[in-house]
Amino acid sequence: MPNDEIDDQVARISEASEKFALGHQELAKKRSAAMSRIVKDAELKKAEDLKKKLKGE
Amino acid sequence: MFGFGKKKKSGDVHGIPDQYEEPKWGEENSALPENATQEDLAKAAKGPNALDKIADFFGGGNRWEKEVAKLEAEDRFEAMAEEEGRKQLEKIKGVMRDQMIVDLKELVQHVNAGVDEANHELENVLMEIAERSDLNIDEAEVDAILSELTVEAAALESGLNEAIAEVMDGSEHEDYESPIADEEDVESYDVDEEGDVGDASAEEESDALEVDEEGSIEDHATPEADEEDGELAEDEVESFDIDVEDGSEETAEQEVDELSEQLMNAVEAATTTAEVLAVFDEYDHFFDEEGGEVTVEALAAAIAAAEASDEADSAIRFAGVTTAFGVRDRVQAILSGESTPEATVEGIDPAKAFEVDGWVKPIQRRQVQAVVTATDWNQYKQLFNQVLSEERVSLQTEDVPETRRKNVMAKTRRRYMKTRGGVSGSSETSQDAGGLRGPEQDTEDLDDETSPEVSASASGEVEPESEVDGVDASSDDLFELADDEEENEDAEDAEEAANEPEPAGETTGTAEDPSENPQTSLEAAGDEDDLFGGAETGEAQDSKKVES
Repeated sequence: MPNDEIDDQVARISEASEKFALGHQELAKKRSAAMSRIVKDAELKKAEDLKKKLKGE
Repeated sequence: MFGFGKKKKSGDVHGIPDQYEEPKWGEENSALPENATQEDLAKAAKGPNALDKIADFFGGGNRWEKEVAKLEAEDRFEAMAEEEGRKQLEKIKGVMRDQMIVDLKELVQHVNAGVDEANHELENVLMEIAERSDLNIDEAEVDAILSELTVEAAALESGLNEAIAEVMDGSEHEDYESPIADEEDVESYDVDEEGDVGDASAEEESDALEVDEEGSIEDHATPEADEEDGELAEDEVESFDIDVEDGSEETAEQEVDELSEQLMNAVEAATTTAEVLAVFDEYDHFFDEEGGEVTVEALAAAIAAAEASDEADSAIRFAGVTTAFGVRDRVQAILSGESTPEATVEGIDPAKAFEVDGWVKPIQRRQVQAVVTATDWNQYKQLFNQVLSEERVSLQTEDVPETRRKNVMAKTRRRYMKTRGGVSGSSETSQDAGGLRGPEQDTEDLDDETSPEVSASASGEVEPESEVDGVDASSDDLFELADDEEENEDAEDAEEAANEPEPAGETTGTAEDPSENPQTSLEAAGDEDDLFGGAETGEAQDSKKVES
């Protein structure tokens, strides 16, 4: 049976939904990385402050 | 003399005509006409009968012609079956494709909800970390990453929607009827010829229905009816014919009664606000006049306003409730940042905001008093979360007084008559409901993505008791604005209710006096989480008393 229109449409939708899923996977990774980065930045900042405070004393 | 030696005509050798043409493939055996009907084929498929066979035995009959016709009929049947099978397969594939798209859209909604939740969770976790470890989390950075994540999620969604729309645009099939069109939620929000979303409004319907000099209501949108005999089509007459001169007003009255009864039953059967909204939506033509409580347009307006905020999902969730309680303008003011604590909303009487057809739920009256004092979105959400929880309890436990039934029926009758051409002659308006009707808002902006959300909002898919992150629904702040004296009375009522052997779920509170409503006693008996427990406790106490 030849590959008809509906098959093409389903294939395109599948492709789009796969892209959607992969995009959200990337978003989840990004979210996780952002959280780690923000916490790490805060820790570094706190360490820096402590260092300054110690040096000042 | 005997003709020997006579020269034969050229081309007539062996009796073959001069202009003989080779038959095309298939023609030489075509025992059936090309346009043979199915009956002919069925007849031919039986093949030669016994008489043909006997005749053939004796050298006559047309057995073999019939044998050929039989084979050809079988071939044609096979081809027909193959074609039919191909069409069926295409149809099924189309249905499966559409179902896939519907499922996909639903999945996208879930994914969006998940993304929101994850973003909130990220925020909460960071705040928790900051609180516990005394770290100075950069809130601006958190906001930036959250907005970036939201934008990217929206971009992914729009990409998928575009792909779906592209596919659906090119999916016209002559034999195929999309099953989506049969879905109730989509049907409710069909786009009409003018591009308006939703069912035909009462104005549109009333434009088509006009009252002639004799008092008959005629559908001028049906040209056949006018041209033929000036009367409505038969089915229209059955539904809407109210002719004063013919004395058929009684029939109309009965019809209105039936409709009112249906409406009343539907409202009573509703257990959540969303279901009540859905009922109002279904009976929208009753409520679409000036002063009507809930209209699709108003709901759409509230959602459009809510969408303008950055918390669209939450906003949509609350917009339905807000609209139901007639404080939509207040929400719009809050969302647009125009609201100040001193600001009053014109036309809103908080005390009447929860009045539905003369039936006031005192507990809700107090809640709306609290709601209209909200000064920011978070406070608004918090307060409304409380309303949602208590509304659910209220609708599940309160009994409907008979007076309310009568009020609703009377009001519905007036509106029905007015909508259908004012035959009843009633000059009363329906302003007494206390609710607000949304301003005229163009609903063309509501695309296909919005419609299911509207549908979801109105069909009970939204969990009314869903908690807003970071908001304690049972916070004491919720009751700050409640009258302390009322609270005391409620507490006393609660004690009385607990002591008296009144059956659980049976309430006799009047609409006007908050203190007489058992719902308030439920509220006073404990915090929000204990509301059900309070009712159960009362029941348990009752049962204990019965046992003793």
